[in-house]
Amino acid sequence: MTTPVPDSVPNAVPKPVPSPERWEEARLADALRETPRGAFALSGAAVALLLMCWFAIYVFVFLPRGGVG
Amino acid sequence: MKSERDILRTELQWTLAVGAAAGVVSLAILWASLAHLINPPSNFETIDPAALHLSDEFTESNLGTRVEADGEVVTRIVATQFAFAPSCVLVPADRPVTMRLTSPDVIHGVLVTGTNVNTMIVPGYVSQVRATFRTTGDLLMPCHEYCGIGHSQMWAVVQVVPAERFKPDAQGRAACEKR
Repeated sequence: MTTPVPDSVPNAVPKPVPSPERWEEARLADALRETPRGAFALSGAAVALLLMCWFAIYVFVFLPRGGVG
Repeated sequence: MKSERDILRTELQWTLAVGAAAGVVSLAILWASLAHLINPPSNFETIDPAALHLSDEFTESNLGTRVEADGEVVTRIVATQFAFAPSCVLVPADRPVTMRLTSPDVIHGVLVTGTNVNTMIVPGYVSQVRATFRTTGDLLMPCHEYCGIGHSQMWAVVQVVPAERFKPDAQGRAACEKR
C-alpha cells in the first residue's frame, strides 16, 4: 500500500540560512538606512534647544536691561 | 545603504537648517542694534598707561563720580592688579551715566551685574560705556578677565541711588555712602 501524494505539497524546502557574515551585513545596511533620520533628530533637537535658550535669555534678560553704548 | 547622492542631499539639508538658525539669530541682533540701539560699547581713545597719575583725567583725585559742567554724570575708574580705584562708585538711577575706565598694567574686564554694562579694559586705551541704571542698590562689579593671581579678589561696587539721594558736592563730586 502506498501513501497517496497530495496535489500540492507544502513548501518543505527550508529557506537558505544566511551565513553569519551576510547576516551582519544585512543588519548594518538596515542600521545605516535609519542613521540619517536619527542624526537629524538628535542634532535638530540639540540645535532647537540651544536656539530656544538663546532667545529666552535674549528676550527675557538682555532686552529688558536696556541699551549701552 | 545610502548612496553618495543621498548623503550629499542630507548634508545640504542640514546646512540649510543651520544657516537658517544663524540667520534668525543675526536678524535678532540686528534688530536690537537698529530698533533698540543696543550695541557693544566702542570707544577708540588712547592714553599713556605709564603716566595715568600724571594725566588730567585719571589722577587719583579725579577718580570716582563727577557731574560735569554740562550735567553729564561721569565715573572714572582705574582697574589695576588687583583692585578698582575707587572700589565703590555712586551713580543716580534713571539718569544716563558715562563710565570711563582704563588700566595701567594688564588687560582687565568689567561687568556690572544685572545690567548690560560689559567691556574690556586694555592698557593704553580708555574704555567707555554709557548706561542708565534702572534699579537702585549695590551692584557688584567684578573683573571678568583673568589678570593674575589676585583676580578673584578684584571687584568693586556700583551704588545706584534714587535721584533725590544723589547729591554731588560743590565740585560736582559724589562718593558712595558709608556702609
